[in-house]
Amino acid sequence: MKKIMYISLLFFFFMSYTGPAQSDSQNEVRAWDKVVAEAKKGGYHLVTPEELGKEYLQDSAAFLLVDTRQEWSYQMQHIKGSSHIDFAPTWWNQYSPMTRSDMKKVLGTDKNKKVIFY
Amino acid sequence: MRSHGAARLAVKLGYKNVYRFAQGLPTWKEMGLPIEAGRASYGVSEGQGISTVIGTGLILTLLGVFLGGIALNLTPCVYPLIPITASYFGGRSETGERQGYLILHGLLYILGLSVMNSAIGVSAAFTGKLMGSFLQHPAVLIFVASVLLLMALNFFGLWELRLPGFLSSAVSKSHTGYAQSLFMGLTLGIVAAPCIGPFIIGLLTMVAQKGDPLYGFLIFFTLSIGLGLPLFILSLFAGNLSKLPSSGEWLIWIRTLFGWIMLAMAVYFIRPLFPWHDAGTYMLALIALASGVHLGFISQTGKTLRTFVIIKRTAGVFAIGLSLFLAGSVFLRGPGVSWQPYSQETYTKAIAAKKPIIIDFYADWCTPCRELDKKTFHDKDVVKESAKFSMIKVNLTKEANPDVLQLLKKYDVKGVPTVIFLDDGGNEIKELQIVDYVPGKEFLPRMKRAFGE
Repeated sequence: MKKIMYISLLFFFFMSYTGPAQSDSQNEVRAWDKVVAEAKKGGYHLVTPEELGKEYLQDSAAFLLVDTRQEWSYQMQHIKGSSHIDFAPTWWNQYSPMTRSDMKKVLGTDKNKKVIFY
Repeated sequence: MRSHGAARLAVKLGYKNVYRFAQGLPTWKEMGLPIEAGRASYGVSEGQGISTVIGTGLILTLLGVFLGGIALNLTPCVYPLIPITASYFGGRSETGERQGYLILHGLLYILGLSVMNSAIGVSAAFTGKLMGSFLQHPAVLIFVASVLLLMALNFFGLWELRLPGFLSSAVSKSHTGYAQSLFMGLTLGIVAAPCIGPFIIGLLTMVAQKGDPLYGFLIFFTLSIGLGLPLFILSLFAGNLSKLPSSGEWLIWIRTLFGWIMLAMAVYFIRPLFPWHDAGTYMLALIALASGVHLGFISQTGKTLRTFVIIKRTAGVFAIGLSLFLAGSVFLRGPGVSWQPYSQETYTKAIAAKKPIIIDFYADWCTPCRELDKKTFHDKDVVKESAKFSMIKVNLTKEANPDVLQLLKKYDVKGVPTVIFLDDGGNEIKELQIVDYVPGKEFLPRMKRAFGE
């Protein structure tokens, strides 16, 4: 609940900050709208950079960071300590038994662990 | 989008505390938080991940392969076998085996066929992965095209390919038991080889180029189902066998049809070798037109069968329509930029040529990349201007090889699409870089600026 409030606050902050003439920022708000809608549909939460940064600096072992970009982007650079799973954005990947078992391998057996995808 | 899908899957798998960091790495870096580079700590992503993009493209391909499999039953090597196989199943029903057992026999037969073909498909995908760019090599493409051309001539009746006698007699022997049903399926794959072989060669090359085992499996499994289905259905109603049209003149027409298809496949394979980008498509359109006229209207075979004449005309009209569609799609869109696929060789050559270079990093599943291709790189002015450049395309759909990885590092590419501009000295002009879709009229000034205009 606290998180949703935080996100909506952030959202209003965006709204009040952007002037109507600045189309770039408007696009940003629209993109963020989409992200919020996606999260709601997917049943997961969103985390802001500030929150994540604070948590990371306090205790980076408390959660699991998972990089979902392509293998080569991961190899070039990723958040320190993050794991990787190559997750191509196709609907098949949601159902593919291979992707599912890969995902379980990366995430481990503790279903209450805090997992953060980026 | 990737992180959204992954987070969603994690929720589905029952993980309770799933978060998504939508701003990702760029914001993280801006905040000055720690990052690192290197290989994945888990072995997961280094395996044979499923990279086949399931979309309408694949579904259409599979549908085509399935229908092709059914059609292959009409080739001269398979069609005469149908009565033999069906009477085998029919014999079983006469000896008093119940319908349920017949279905089991039929299923085992299809299974045998699928196992054989899928094994071939998957191994092609694996070897394709090993051989890598070998299959893109002009010599290999020309070789495959020549084999297909020879086969086309065979189908046109210019020469005859025969199976060794001991193999063809092996199928007509009577078999008993479930193991034999399975075995018959396995052998059909071999016996039908002279007719379906060229198709298999074509499909194998296609699969090997993709290098994806799942793709190989899907293609060949679907082909087997199509190939085995008519026999399966017939075997269930073995009594109706007499209603099947007898082998005759019309088989020769089917042969010719397959000849034209072989010819089209040969052109398909050498298409990348044409200097002019759309030449291959125009040639395919020409083949479709010629085959339509020939098969539908000139060919005199099977005139006495009324239904067959209707089939002939329909096929002819369909092929002519296909030809118009092919030619029209290229004609209306106009010619596109002609790219060279990236390899270390093309890259070094391009640098040595002292021409400015444009490198496009793209992936099949990336929407802005496809938009760039469809619109910007088909823009008339962009195409014209591109003749002054060396144009190189880097495909990042799957994992990058060490060569490509070095290139990515060198130009600090973070994702797709990325289009970079190098001046005639081979130095990147950083401010011209593009990381999203831009229309042709915005792309063109960048090209001019690469020349210092």
